[in-house]
Amino acid sequence: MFKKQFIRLAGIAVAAAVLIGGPAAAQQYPVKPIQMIVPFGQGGATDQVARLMAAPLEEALGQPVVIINQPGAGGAIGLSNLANARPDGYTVAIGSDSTLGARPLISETGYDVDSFAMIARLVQIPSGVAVRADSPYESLNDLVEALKTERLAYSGSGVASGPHLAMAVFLAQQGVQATFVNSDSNQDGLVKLLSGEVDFLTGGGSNFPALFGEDGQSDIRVLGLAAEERWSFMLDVPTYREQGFDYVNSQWFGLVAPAGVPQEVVDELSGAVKGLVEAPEFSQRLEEFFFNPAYLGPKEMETLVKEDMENVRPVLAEIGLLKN
Amino acid sequence: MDLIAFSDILQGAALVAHPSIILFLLVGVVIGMIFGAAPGLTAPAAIALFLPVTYAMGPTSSMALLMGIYCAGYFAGSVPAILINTPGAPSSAATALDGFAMARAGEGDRALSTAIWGSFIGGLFSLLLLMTIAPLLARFALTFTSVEYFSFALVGMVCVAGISRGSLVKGLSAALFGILVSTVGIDPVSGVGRFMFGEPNLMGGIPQTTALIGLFAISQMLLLSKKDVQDQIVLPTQKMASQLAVLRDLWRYRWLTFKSAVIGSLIGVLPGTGPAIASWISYSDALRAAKPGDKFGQGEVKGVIACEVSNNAVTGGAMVPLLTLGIPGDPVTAILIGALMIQGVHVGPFLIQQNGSLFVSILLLLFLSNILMVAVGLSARKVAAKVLQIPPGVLVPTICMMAAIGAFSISNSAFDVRLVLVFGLIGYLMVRLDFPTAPAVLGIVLGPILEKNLRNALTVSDMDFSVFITRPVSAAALIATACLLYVWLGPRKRSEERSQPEKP
Repeated sequence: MFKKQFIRLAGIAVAAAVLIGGPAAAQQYPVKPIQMIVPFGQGGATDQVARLMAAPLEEALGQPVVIINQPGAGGAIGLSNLANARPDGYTVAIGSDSTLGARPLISETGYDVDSFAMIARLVQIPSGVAVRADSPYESLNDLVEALKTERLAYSGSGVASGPHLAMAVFLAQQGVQATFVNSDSNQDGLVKLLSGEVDFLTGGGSNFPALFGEDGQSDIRVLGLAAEERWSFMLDVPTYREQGFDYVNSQWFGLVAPAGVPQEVVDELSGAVKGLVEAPEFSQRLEEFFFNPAYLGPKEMETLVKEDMENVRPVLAEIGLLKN
Repeated sequence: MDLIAFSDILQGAALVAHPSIILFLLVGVVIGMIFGAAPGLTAPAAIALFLPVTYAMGPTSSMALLMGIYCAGYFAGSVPAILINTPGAPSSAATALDGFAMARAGEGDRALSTAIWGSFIGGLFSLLLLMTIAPLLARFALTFTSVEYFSFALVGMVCVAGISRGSLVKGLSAALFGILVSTVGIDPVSGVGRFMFGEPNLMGGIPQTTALIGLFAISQMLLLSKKDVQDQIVLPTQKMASQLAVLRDLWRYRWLTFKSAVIGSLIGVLPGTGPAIASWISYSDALRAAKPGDKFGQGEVKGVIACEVSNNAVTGGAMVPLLTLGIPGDPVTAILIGALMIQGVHVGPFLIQQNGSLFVSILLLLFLSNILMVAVGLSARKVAAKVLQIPPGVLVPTICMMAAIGAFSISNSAFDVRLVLVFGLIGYLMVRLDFPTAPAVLGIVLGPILEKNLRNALTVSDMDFSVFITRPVSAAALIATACLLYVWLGPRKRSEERSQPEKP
C-alpha cells in the first residue's frame, strides 16, 4: 500500500521535474559529460583530431568531453554505434569524408548518411599521390600516360577509405585503370610502396611531410596534391590542376551526432567548434600535425557529404564495390 | 652510428638520469606487469589506455612510462600462462604449452625464472641490434613483399603439426576453426561482410584478445569450477629454483637462446607482425631442432626459452622500423607514433637525425626497463606463485571479472564481453573433447596474415602462383616448411607411432 503510494508520488515528482527542468535543461545544454566516439584506435589521425579538440571544447561548453575509441571495420563500428545512440547531444562522433557517405554504399554498415545530424567540419588535408624516389614517373602526367599502356598497382589505407576513393575517382575520370592492393593503414601502404610491391601510393597530404629531410631528400616523390592551390606544408609539390588535371579532393574530419538531435544542440555545438577552429592558437596546434583548419556549418557539411557520395557512386559501381 | 653526435649521447643520458624519469619507468614496468599478467589485458591495451595520460608529460617522461609498460607487458603474459594455463596475451599462448606442464611437475618457479631471464636476454639482444644496425635492418625488412609475409606465416602455421602430437587431425581442425574465426567481419580486401549474421558489432571481426580470453581463461575457469578439488588442478608444492641454475640452463641452450632472439628481433622488424607470431615461429624452430630426449609439450624448459626470448626480442626489433622509417613494427609501436606526435616529434626517416638525444634516451629507457623488469619480475614471482594457493571459489570469479573488464576495454563495448563467454564455452568443449586450444589461437593470429598476403600477392601478380617460388626468400621459407613437415610427419615419426601403443 505504502509502496504504491510512494511510486505515485515519485511519478508526480519526476513529471514535475521534467516540466520545470525540461525547457531549462535544453537551454543549458550541456548539463552532463559528452561522449565523443572516435571510430579508430588511439594514436591515429582521427584520434589526434579528437584529442586536440576535447580540451578546448570542454572549456567552451563547461562540461567534460570524454573520448571513447571504438575501432573496427574502417570506422563503421563506431559510427554504427553512434547511429543507435540516443539523439540528445551527449553522444557525438568524429566522422570523415569516406566513412559517412561512401562507406554505407559498399556493404551493410547499420547506418547510412541519413542516420546522422552533421554538426561541423573541422579539418581537411589534400589528397595526394606519391611514388618511390627511383620511380620513372616524374609527374602526374607520366603516371597517367603509363597507365594507358600498362597495368600498375597502387595502395592506400584500406578498401573504400578516403585515399582509395580519391584515387579511384581520379583514375575513372582519366579513363584508366590500376590494381588496388589493400593495406591496413597509410604506413602499411608505404611499406608496399617502398618494397616495390606497388607502383604508387594514394594518401592524405599529412602523411608526407615527415618523410622529407630538411634538404628535401626522401625515399619518395610526391607527384601532386589535389588541392585548390599549393599546400602550405609542401610548397614545391604542384597541384593536379597545375598539371592539367581538373581534380580537387580532400580528406576531412567532422563532428556528427545521431539524427533527430535537437536543433539547439546542433547550434550550440557547431558554434563552439566554429569559435575553436577559428582561434589562432588552435589552428597552430593543428598545423603541427599538418592539418588545415576547415570549419563548415551543419548545412554545408551535409551538402558536401551528399555531393561526395553521388560522385563516388558511379565509380564504385565501375570498380565493382557498390553493394547490391 | 655516425648519425648521432657525441653531444646527443650526453644529452640523452642527461635526460634519462633524473629521479622522476626512473620513477615513471618503474611505474610503467609495474603497470605493464599487471596488464600483461591479467588475462585479457594486454600490453597494447595498457599503452592505449595510458597514452592520453602522457599527453601532459614531456617526451622523455612519456617514453619512460610507455617503454616500461612495453617491455614488462610483453613478458608478464607468461606468468598466468605458466601458473594457471591462462596466457595473459596471445604471445604467451605457446609458453603455456611447456610452462604449465612444468608447473604441474612442481617446477613452476623454474619456468617463471626462465621466462624472466629469457625475456631479459631477448630484450637486450634486440636493443643491441637497434643500437648498431637499425637502418640496415629496416632496409632489409623493406625488401619483403606480401609474397614473403605469406610464406613466413605458413612456416608458423606448420607449427600446428609439431604441437599437436597427440592427434594431428584434432590439432588441424582446431587451427582451421581459428582461421574460420579470423574471417568473420568485413573482408579487408573487398570490403564485403562475412559471417556477420546482421550483427554490426561483428563488422570489425572477432578481436584476437577476445577469442584468447574465452578459449583459455574462461574455459580454464569453467574447468576449475567443475573439477573436484582432488583432481589434477591442485599443483604440487612448487620448488624454488636457483637463479644460477636457470642462467646455467640458458647458457646450456645458448644456441637456442641466440636463435630465438634473432627470430624475435627479425619478426619485430617486419611491419604488421608482432610477438605472437615471433613466439610461434621460434617455438616451431625449437621443435624442429628437438633432440630425442626432449619432452616438448610435457614440460620442456627449452619451450619456455624459445617463446619468451623471442617475444621480448620483438620490443627492440619493432622499434627499428619505427625509429628509422616511421613505420610501426608491431601493435604497440603503432600506438607509439601517436604518442611521439603529440609530443611534437615527427616520426619518419629523419627522426634520429633531428632528435638524436631522444633516440639515445629511448635506447637507454629500453635498457633500463629491461633491468627493472628482471628486478620487479624476480621479486614479484613469489607473490605470483601464491595465486596457486587461492581457492577456486575466489580465483574463478576474480579471473572472470578481470576477463570481462579486459574484453570490455578492447573497444568499449559490452558485445565483446558476450563474445568472450561464447568462446569460453567453445574452449571448454574443446578441452573436454581433447581438442588442443593452442592451434586455434595460432589460427586466429596467423589466419588474417595468411589470407591478406596471399590475396595481395596474387592481386599484384595477376593470379600467378609462381611468385611464391621465384622470389628467393619466399622459396627458402617454403622449403623450410616442407622440411618441417617431413621431420614431423615423415617416416621416422610414423614408425615411432606404430611402435607406441594407441592412446586410451
